[in-house]
Amino acid sequence: MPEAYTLSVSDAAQQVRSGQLAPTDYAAALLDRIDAYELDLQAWVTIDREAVISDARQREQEPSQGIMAGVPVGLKDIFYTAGMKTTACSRIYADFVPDYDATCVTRLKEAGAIVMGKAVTTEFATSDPSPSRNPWNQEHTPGGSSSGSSVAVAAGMVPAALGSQTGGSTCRPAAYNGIVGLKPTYGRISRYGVVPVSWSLDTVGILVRTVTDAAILLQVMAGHDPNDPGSAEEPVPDFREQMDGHAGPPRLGLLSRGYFFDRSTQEVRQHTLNVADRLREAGAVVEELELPQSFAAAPDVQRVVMNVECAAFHEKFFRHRADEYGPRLRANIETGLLIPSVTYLQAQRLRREFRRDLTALAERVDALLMPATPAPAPKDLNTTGDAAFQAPWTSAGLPTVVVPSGLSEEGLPLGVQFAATPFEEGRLLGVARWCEGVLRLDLRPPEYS
Amino acid sequence: MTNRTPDISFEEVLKSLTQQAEARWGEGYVAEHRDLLEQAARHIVSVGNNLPETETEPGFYQ
Repeated sequence: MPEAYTLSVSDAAQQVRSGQLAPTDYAAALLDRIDAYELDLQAWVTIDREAVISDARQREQEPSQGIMAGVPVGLKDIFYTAGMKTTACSRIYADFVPDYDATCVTRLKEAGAIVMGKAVTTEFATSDPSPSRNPWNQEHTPGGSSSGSSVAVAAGMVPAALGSQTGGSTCRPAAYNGIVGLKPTYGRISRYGVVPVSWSLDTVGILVRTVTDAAILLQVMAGHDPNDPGSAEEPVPDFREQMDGHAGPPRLGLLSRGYFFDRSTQEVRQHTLNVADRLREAGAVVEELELPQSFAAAPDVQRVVMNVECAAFHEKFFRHRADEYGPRLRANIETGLLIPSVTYLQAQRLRREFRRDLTALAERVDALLMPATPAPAPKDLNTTGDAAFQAPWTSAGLPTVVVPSGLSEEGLPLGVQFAATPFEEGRLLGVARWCEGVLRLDLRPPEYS
Repeated sequence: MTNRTPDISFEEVLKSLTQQAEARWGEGYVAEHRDLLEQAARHIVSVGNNLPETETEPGFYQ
């Protein structure tokens, strides 16, 4: 019998449903693990131990159990939780206690999940580093902004956690911590009850240890929500069924020319080419594709939109409490206040063009393949790393998934990132699961295994 | 119809941003945040020099 902390969402829920695993025992085992490692890793803001055990006990007594029966989940501390503080790790929201759950939290609970607690985020999910530590090497950043969520999943404190992505805040920390990160299509999961960074970019993200688990959480949370103006009305398919329909070797578009490889270290370039070779040997068709011309301005467009919308959200607080903001977030807001309205609108127009061009590119293959980050997690706790490989996809709203693909010479995780056309997460996850099967990795940070 | 001809000067944009920043937060701010203002100017120039097709409307919610 494997240790409880090593169980995937899928295996844990199956064991709960079959009566092999009691939710109270499972929750207690994970709480013990948090007790053992939290001082080192600083992944959590709030954990209500009694509430967790009480919820687990309640799950044991429920006659019908959902697909996440008895599975504890971490929530980045920007997701509203009724009666529990949602601080966004900021001084501004330090005492904020919502009176309702975010829609995605409600849906997780309805599926049988247990809220383990609130995970550390960088301040307001932007770029001032958090105190969380990378379990692979504490001198290296865990990334951000979903730092606590990623660390908690990597260290086996929970099998799944929610993050968010406005630039690279889900897929980048997933890569730095050696876990799976899914950023669905913009609008796929409701952001109602999620503290915003930038309304037209913010996307709820999923942090787990297997691709199948990403599909399970997506299934639970996806779907239209009239409370979120950005929520898509697209029908929600059976993602696991769609994954099964893409279980064979895929056709991949390798983005090895220009932007992604130009910005990568030699080690990351070679690693990505080696991964592509392994996938090709296993039957994938891998062809090199060129990025569209509109890609050139994509990172700048993303910064303009994010800074202006961030400034708009914070303006009211910022007017009187600017000194209570971290330096990087303060800089983002100040920049946003200076950018002309016409530039913001042009950026939004460019995004539409950019999304069209990237969708056309992604339509040529089952998924696009690229390195997940330009380098492994930097040895610098004053940064959350480089979001350059995520921001263009967030800006275009296309779904992406990061899968661990190996270790660097220094023993840090490396990952590859896949992207697909909008609302084709089933295909994207099918491709990612096939690649996961070919690579056959089970990365665990040595000191926390 | 597209408009991809570079016609916005970095220096002009930076000057405009600097004046605005000085008016909002004072001379000291401008001196301390030169890098930030230059970065914002680069973003504005990049957007301005890559204008989309004239028919393209903004897509706030994708």
